[in-house]
Amino acid sequence: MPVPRDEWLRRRKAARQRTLTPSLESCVLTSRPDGSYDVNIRGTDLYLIGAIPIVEIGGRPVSRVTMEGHEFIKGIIDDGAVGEPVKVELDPENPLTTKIEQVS
Amino acid sequence: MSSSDNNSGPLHPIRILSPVGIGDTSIWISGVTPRADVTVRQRSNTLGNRGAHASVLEVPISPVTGPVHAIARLGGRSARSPNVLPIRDPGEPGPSTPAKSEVNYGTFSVPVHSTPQGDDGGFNAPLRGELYAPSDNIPHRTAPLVIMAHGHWPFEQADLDSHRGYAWLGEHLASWGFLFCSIDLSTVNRESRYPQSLQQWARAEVVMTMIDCLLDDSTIHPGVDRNRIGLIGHSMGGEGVVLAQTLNRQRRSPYGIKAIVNLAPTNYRTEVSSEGTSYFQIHGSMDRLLVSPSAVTGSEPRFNGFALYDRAWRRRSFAWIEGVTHDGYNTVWWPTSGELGVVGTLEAEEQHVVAQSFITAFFADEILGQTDYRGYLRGPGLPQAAKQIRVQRQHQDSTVEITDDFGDPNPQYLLEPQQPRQKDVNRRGQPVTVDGFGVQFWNLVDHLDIPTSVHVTHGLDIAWHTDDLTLSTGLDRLIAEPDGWLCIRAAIHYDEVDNEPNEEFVTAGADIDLTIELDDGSQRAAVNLSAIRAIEYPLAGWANYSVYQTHRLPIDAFTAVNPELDIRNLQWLRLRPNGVANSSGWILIDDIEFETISYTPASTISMLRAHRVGGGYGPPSDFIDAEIITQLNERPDETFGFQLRNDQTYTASYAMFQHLRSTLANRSQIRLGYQWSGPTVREIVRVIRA
Repeated sequence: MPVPRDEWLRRRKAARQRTLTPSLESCVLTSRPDGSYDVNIRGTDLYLIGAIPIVEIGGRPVSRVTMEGHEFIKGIIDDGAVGEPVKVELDPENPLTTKIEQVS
Repeated sequence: MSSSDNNSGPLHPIRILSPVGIGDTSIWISGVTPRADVTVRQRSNTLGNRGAHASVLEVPISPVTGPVHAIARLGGRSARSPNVLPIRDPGEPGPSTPAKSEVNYGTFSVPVHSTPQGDDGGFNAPLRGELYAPSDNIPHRTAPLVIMAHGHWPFEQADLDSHRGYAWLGEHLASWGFLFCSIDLSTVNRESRYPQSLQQWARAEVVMTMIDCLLDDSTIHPGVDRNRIGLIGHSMGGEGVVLAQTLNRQRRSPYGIKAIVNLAPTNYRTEVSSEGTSYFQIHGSMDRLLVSPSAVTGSEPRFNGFALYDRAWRRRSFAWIEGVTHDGYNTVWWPTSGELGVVGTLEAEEQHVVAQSFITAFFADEILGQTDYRGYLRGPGLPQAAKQIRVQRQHQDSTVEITDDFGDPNPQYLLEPQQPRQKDVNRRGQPVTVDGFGVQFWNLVDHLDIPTSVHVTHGLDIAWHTDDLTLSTGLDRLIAEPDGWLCIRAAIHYDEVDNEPNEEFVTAGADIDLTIELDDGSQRAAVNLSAIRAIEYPLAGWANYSVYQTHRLPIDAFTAVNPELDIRNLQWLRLRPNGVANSSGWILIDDIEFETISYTPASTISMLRAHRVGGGYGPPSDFIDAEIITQLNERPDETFGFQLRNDQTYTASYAMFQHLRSTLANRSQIRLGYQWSGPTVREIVRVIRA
């Protein structure tokens, strides 16, 4: 059945209202017994728009990425240095970035 | 064009289009002579009536509680339909009481599969799950099995319980007589490492090994019927269950996986396709994976799950539903989902009832053999739960005569790509023309080049600015069946300018109606799509996409308009905008076909054999599960067969076998009516003396 024009436009506008404003606050690496590093990323409104979260540090993929609530993302990487760029893709069209703040 | 109400003979036969559900408040009737009065009755009680404005129409009625029939009357003549027994609505619980238990078969080493992205497998995975079984009213020693494979969930603690999020579906399917096992894939999820590998083969290995374990488990009551199995995959589990069927077909003795359901599947592996089984998919307009068009329609369409439907072998069906979300299927995921509370989404419970209605209908048809339920997949009828929401369906059967597919390869039917692709020659080698003053353009288009299309196919892209437009495609004496269907995939071409809908050709929200005409060279008959359903404007959602709908018109709706039309000798199909209300439009068209039985030419038999149940014929990739096998001299590269088993089909099947035997002994000729089963194997549904 056809939908009146105004009603269709209203539904479209409502569906596209995305009030979330995801952002990254920090990224800290902590060493693991096997020499690799735990990746700890903190942010706000971290909602997934996809099937799996994709995280890269210096262009290298972070493995075993998991989320805790909508404020933390965790994973594992072989190495990393303070100041290296961190890219978090929860939404393919809106990747988030930060830098490694601390390695310990 | 003649009109049947001018004739003095009997009124054109009418039929009720299945399904009729208990409690339905409307019924679809086809074959109705225009202007006849149609009455629907339950025994002698009138449930409703309506004047026939079209040859196929929906009649509002009081709720159905028993067998119904319809009567059409016009000018002293009448026609009465056969009685139709109503069926249980697939959204209602079945007669059995579900019983829940846990199964745990330890761990196993997941074999390694090499993929372009790296290896899948190579780790240990648990074999456990949540089982829902029908606990009473079991008429058989074994029950059909349904395996549920969940998707990827990034919250590690919650993911441990991902498989527990489908109790609503397990309880429902168990009440309908299915054993339902939702398996734990959280270990596989932990091993999924983008971009190296997403472990889709590993998911498939776990699915197959769980089936092995469940079949070997003597404590399960009722036992598992190895020949009646269905798979359901959600999100990344969707690709996993399709690959499970790939593994199954590589086995020496494959399981009878009759049907696959995909709920919002991902599309990471574009080589994955469902083959050798029936396929059904549900996708929702409020699925979070569809938010970003670049991941749906771009060069890396990892969230274009729609493409799995385009690649799937037939029978295949699709329900595209407004408001359905990605995470709402899983009750463990839902409380932390970003889709929760978003304007325009269905409540999770609403989504469950709609999904379980379609899934149950699909499995009742494909696994239980209750073919009336297919009507809920192909239309026009809908399950009760889906009647108040917008659902756009596709259904493509295997028994079709393809008029035009716009040159796409079709491995199931051994069709190579049309070379070169030509918009003015169809698959039957007949001319295609588009004429009229209104034509703005008509182009053969690759959907990958359309920014808003989700499809992987070629089609026609047509726009017009006045209603003076006619598309004609040659049929070359095509034979249609009186109870068959004409099917056209079509969509409104959605486009945006400055992030707003482009309304140059179509006003936002408006449908487009077409008149479809069949012509046998001397007689013509025309039916409007809107008699059932016009081409609907795209669903409003996160993003807006052009998604095909299958428009299906019953052949007897044409012969009711003009009984002189010779449907055994069709020469032309024509398509026109229906009047000034559709004086401009922009549509995409694909897959013009007639749902009918395919026939071989008349031929003598070169081989006929019979063997015990379970032997079948052919390699796993091209296998037919049949006891009677035959080959024809006129079709030496194909093998035909059918089952001869002690069930309700035995009498008819035995008669067909005797017919083949006498044909071989007499060296006479036959024609076989068949459905496509695999690349070279066909299932015989009719044997005709030539």
